[in-house]
Amino acid sequence: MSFSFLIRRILGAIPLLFGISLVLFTIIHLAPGGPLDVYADNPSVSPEALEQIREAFGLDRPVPVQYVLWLRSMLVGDWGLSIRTGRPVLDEILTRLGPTMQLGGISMLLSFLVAVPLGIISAARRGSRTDSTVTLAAFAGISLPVFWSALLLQLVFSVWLGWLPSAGMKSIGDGSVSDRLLHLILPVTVLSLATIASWSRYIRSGMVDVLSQDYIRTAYAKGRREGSVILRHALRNAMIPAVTVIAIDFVTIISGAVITETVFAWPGIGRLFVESMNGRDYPMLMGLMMMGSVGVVAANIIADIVYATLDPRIRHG
Amino acid sequence: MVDLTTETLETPPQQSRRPLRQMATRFARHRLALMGLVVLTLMTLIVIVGPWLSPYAYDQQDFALIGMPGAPSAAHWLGTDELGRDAMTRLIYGGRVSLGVGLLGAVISTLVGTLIGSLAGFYRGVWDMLLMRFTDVMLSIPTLPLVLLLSTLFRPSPVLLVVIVGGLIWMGTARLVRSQFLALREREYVEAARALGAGGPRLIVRHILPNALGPITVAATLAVGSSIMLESALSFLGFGILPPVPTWGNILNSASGWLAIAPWLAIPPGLCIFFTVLAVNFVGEGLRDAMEPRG
Repeated sequence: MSFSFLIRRILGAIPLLFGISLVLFTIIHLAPGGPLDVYADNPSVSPEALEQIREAFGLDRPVPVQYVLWLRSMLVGDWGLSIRTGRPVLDEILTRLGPTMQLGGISMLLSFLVAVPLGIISAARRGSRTDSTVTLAAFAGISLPVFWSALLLQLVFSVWLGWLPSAGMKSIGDGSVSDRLLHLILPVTVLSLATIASWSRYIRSGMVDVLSQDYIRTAYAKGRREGSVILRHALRNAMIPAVTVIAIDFVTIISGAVITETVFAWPGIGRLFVESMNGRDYPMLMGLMMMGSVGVVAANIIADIVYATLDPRIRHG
Repeated sequence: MVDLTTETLETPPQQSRRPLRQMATRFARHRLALMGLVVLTLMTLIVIVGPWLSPYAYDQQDFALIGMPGAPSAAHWLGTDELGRDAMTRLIYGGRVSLGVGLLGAVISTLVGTLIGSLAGFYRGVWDMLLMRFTDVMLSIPTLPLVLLLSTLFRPSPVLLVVIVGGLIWMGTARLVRSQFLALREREYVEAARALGAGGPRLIVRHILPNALGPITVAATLAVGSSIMLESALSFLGFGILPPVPTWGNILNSASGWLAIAPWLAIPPGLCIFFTVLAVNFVGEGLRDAMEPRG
């Protein structure tokens, strides 16, 4: 991995981050009532008080000045105070990040371990019954609404069978490893279903493309067995198209576990987002949006690096 | 064994027919796509005709049944909700709203995506740079949280909500259309048209766009699924289209509170979303196969 490639890639992300901040800033300022919308609805806040808040927050300054001020405080980590709790936004987000990372990380690992073999088998036995079954299941998985599969699993495994806890991270008064693992099963399953479905499709199509290449025929011709051809010759190239999708999905899960975390009362940042929605906690929502977007940009960079590792033509060409 | 030879032998003998006919034949050979089309047609018919056939209105309450969800019965096939309203009527009426949002959202996203993609791909240079950077920016902001944020900030009417949904899922289409335009604008027939004096807008609309319609149609089909999903998720979380107007998402939202007592309320709306999106995805896949036959 060349150092200059890395630097180039990171520098290239700066205009993107700039654009994202501009879009988010515009959205919050276009809204009727602007950033002070919460206070404007509150009858106990008088117009004079509102004016004072406006001045205190610098909202009486010209919009471009406001943008620069806002951007500067975002950069130095001063993301404002949560309207709901009064605590710094950044602190609040960081304390909620742990549970989300735990849930998302385990789901991603599981998805990867299941999707890669599925995609490979499907591609290697193209047109077979196994292939069409996997394909059909993948379509079903992609079309399944997350909020509904979450409810169904809760209904079957918690309400009817009583095997698994329906919500939360741990039971009250318990917190042992096995208790925590039991609480993980349902949300991890829900989060993984859709990703397994979509990743197995990407890996299958990457594999199908690679398996028709001449060098694979050569590998067979020199007497390699199928397993070794697939794992040692084909897999590396077949993974290239899937890398970006996997990297982006990881962040989407981290920032987009909104639904799963809400249904399963998981105390992560997805739930924090919905809680902040209910309290119209704009500083918090902006902080979460900013963090989610930065995550996507970072994931893109990481995907490019993995890309370049898998395919030397990219880093040299 | 991986068989490398059959693939090339499978190609059917090409008959010289009109391309549309050919496409229709190829689409019809795709069984799942055909099934998807049938499901969607049926759904649309039910959703249009259903509310007239139902003896209840979607917000009509039976005061004898208020307070608790009622079990399915001869009078109420799918039971009643906690406000004493007929669940089946609400499901069908909700389908009207959900399918409508899906369709209109897809139309908007396709229009925006095609406009941005064609301008970027045709004019290249600075236009391309600006429009594609904007596309990248929109792709980087997580969609569901952004929709949620916009819906609290603007408290949208259903119509505005459709515009928001469509306005957030056009990026894939834009990239696709751009790449089509980049390839097509170099073709000789475009050069010929240019030599005959055709200007930019005419070249875009009359000459290049018709040849990019295939992939655009596929993207538009898939966008119907995305916008149904997005609206349902939003309504499920309680922020999209608000009761008493039913959508599959907000029916599921209120049913989730009664999950343990009245599971019959939560299962049908989810099944409807699932089968609709599945059907849309199959149709999209069938169209893709029909329009861009691969080896």
